[in-house]
Amino acid sequence: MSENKSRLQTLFEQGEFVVTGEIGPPKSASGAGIREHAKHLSGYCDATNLTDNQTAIVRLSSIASGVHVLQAGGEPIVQMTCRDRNRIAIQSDLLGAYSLGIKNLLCLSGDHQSFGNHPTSANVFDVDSLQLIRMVKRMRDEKVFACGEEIKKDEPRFFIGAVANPFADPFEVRVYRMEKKINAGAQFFQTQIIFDLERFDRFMELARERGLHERSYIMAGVMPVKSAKVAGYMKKFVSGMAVPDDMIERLKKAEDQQAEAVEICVEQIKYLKNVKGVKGVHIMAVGWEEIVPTIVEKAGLLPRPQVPGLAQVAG
Amino acid sequence: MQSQEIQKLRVDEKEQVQHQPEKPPLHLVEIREEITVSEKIDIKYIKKRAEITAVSYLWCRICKQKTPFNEARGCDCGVIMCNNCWGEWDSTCPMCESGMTTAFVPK
Ligand SMILES: [Zn+2]
Ligand SMILES: [Zn+2]
Repeated sequence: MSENKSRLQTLFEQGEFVVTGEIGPPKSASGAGIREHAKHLSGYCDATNLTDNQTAIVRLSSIASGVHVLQAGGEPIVQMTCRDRNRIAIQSDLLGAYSLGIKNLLCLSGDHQSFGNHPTSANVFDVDSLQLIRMVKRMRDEKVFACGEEIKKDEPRFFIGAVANPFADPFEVRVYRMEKKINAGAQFFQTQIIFDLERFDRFMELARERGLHERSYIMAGVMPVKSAKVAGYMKKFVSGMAVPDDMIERLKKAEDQQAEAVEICVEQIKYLKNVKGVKGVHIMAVGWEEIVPTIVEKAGLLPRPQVPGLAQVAG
Repeated sequence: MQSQEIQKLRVDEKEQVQHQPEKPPLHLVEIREEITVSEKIDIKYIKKRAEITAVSYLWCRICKQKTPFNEARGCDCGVIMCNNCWGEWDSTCPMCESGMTTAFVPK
């Protein structure tokens, strides 16, 4: 199959500072909200993540959501977790997704089902995230299924992404995990939400020491935090998250906490843009999606770049 | 024996990344072989079955307690809380500040 790169990959290769957003699919069988959301982000984000039953709660499938984004003229990044499918189902869904026009794939383990709305369901984890990445790469580059059987024609040619968490312990191991994912085939990364810029700096230093910034496109994850209350919740109850106290204090003292939240997020993006090796920013505005265009604009990331030969799409 | 197994299971990520073959094995079976260090190779397949019943409880994100289905509430953003914790958080979602409108209806 001829090389048919995604818009996302093309932008990275052009050296653009990429902006991506995130859409959580609804707990219903309607795609109208997704299409509307994708249109809302049009011209502000270069691509949009579609989460795969995030927090282990049943939602409209990430692949179907990706198709809705395509229909709205957007560029989807479909997430695929290891929790819900075995290798047969994963490969089958990958063929299906690619056949429907989805070209970007983000491979991740997935949240444990215990804290979702089906806590007694079984999980699968037939393959882990590293094996998933490798499987997708082999399907593309070696034209084989996981079992070794040849894919006779039209192999899925995904641009492969993975996640990295600079804030989980032990700290040094995070970079090695990232390197293992690159070795397995990961081409781009989206990091966990960054609040602690100093710690992220150290992470990037280690990543640069190992040359990982030259072997993959690293996108820094950010989130506008609506209020001091939300920040406090995240600090205390969301694992793998480093929320500095001075950020919570700053929100507390603000007259308009939402305006301050936007200000903080914009400052973070401006800072991250200058960290060597960071090639883009991934904005996760959980429950506050409508604020994304404002943030992108205030961070000076407009206008979004064009890809020659492609119509202006976003979403 | 047990400590030996634990030792073997404790993965040195740095070692792994440095000695990673160009085409590492894909199959889980081979990992099972790696971690089986008892003299008698005895691979156990544990089949976890799901409970195919209506969910009777959920886990609260805040107090981490098992909560009866009809005493919990959920939010579109994914947060699930027990009614107690929800009350303590001013009856709003701690993540997105919505009213958490999802009720769980016992079967
Ligand atoms: Zn609770
Ligand atoms: Zn919520």
